[in-house]
Amino acid sequence: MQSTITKAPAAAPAVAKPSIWRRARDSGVPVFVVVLLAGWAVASRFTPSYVLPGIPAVARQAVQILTTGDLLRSLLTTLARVAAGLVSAFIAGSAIGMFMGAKAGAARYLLPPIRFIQGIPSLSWVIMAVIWFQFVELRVWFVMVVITLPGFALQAYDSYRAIPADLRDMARSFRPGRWSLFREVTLPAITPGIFTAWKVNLGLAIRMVLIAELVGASVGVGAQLMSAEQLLDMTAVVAWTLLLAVIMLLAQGAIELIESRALRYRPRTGHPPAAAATASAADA
Amino acid sequence: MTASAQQNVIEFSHVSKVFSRHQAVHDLHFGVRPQELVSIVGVTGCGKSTTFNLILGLIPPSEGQVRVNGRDPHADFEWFRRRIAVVFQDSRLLPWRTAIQNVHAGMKFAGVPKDEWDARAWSWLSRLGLAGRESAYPHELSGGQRQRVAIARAFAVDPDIILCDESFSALDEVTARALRQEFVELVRGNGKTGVVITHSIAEALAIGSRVLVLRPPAHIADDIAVPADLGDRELAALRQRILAGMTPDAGAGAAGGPAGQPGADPAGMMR
Repeated sequence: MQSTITKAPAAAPAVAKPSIWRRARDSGVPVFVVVLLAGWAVASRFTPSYVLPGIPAVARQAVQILTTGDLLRSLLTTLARVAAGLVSAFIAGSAIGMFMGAKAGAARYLLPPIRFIQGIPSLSWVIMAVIWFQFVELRVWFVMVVITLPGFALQAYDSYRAIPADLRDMARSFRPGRWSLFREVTLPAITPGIFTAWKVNLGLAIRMVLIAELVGASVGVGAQLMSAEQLLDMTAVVAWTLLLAVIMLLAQGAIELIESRALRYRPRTGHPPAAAATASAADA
Repeated sequence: MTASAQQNVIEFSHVSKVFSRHQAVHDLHFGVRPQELVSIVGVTGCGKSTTFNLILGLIPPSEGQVRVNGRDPHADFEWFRRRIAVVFQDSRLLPWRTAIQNVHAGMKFAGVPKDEWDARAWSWLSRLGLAGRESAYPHELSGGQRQRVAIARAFAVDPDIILCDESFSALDEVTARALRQEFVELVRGNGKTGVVITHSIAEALAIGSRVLVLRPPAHIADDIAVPADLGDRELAALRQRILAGMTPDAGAGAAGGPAGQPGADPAGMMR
């Protein structure tokens, strides 16, 4: 019945996207870095090194961390703990959120405990983990998961509920299987919310892993900071802190890059595509 | 069931539908023959959408029997995969998919083999004048183009029955007229059975070879065959007859001929 098309029509003209470098420049990060370094350089000239060490000393300390086996292992251990906790919370939280969205009865019974868990202070979880679990890695993993899981679950739940009923009805009118409905409608619809949860939880996880390690671990950045505090080694404190902050910024950047690729269908705010402006003329 | 009823592709036998205390459909009784293109017209809130959902099998009737291809569309919901497709009032395109991916999605939902997706999608998008716009996302398309993609998505499944729910009412008159004409040609040219639900009398007459006039709670107030070539006077008379059928206050005179004030169009339904 259908006519055979042997030659694929030409694709629509691509809308030029700004490069990563241009986006970095436009984000204001370079200006922030320059102002920070200049302020730091000036301030460190007028303060003793145990209050604010100079940039060269901190840079040397950072290089030492990255090139010394034990110190680098501490950094990587902390990052692995953050990654393990976030990935576990993401999988479990997203599944719980979607389950609550799909089953109203489940939401009725699961939302109160999730909100209760979210309301408990993070430090209380750290102390309870130290008392409950003897194994250090289990302590830190538990703290990471219990603190970040509610964010993933609630974002997935809200995103699921926000899927337009019209789209569901459209899909249902074709009598889809469960997997194709999930793959084509549910998953893309909740993806923006999941990215938001990742960005929020990444900062939260890095802050909390240090507290968990300060109290309950002998290896990791938290433990190294505890050691530096006991030696009044401000250079090490600043170097460890800056390394973690830079790694977090890079991770945030990576998430935003993946997000912009995954959500490339969204029109850029304030910059309607040229194609849309001319599209209405095609109707006539 | 009579012999003529058995020949019908869509058969409503004294169907009623009650939601809580609200009766949306009351004793609805009609049939649609194979390859017929029928318009169902009625005022807003008269039960058109409920009738639509009953045909689709999204809801069961409270009383009576709905049969599509001789089967219960609600009980045999899965059986109708690839046999029924819908074009909605708004295009309902997936915003995260391009035009061609939206057509693919319809086929994926309906279980069309994957190796046929590209050929079918290219074919229907080309027929509907969207060659070169396959890679555009919905927000990059105009309203008319989006609705063309929705039509391509429905036809690409190659269903026996195409349903339209106010599919052209959200478009400007020039675009709507062009799309209506394309739709009629596609339905007739491909031997499909079509049911178009609308509140517009002009649209009902432009599309259907038969017009079923609904009055709330949804029941048939009039069943009008539309001749192929209508003069202005016959067209005006049909419009008046449909308007009278749609208007609850018009009473029993509806099926018998023109009623109400000539030229009156309180709800803008003549458009």
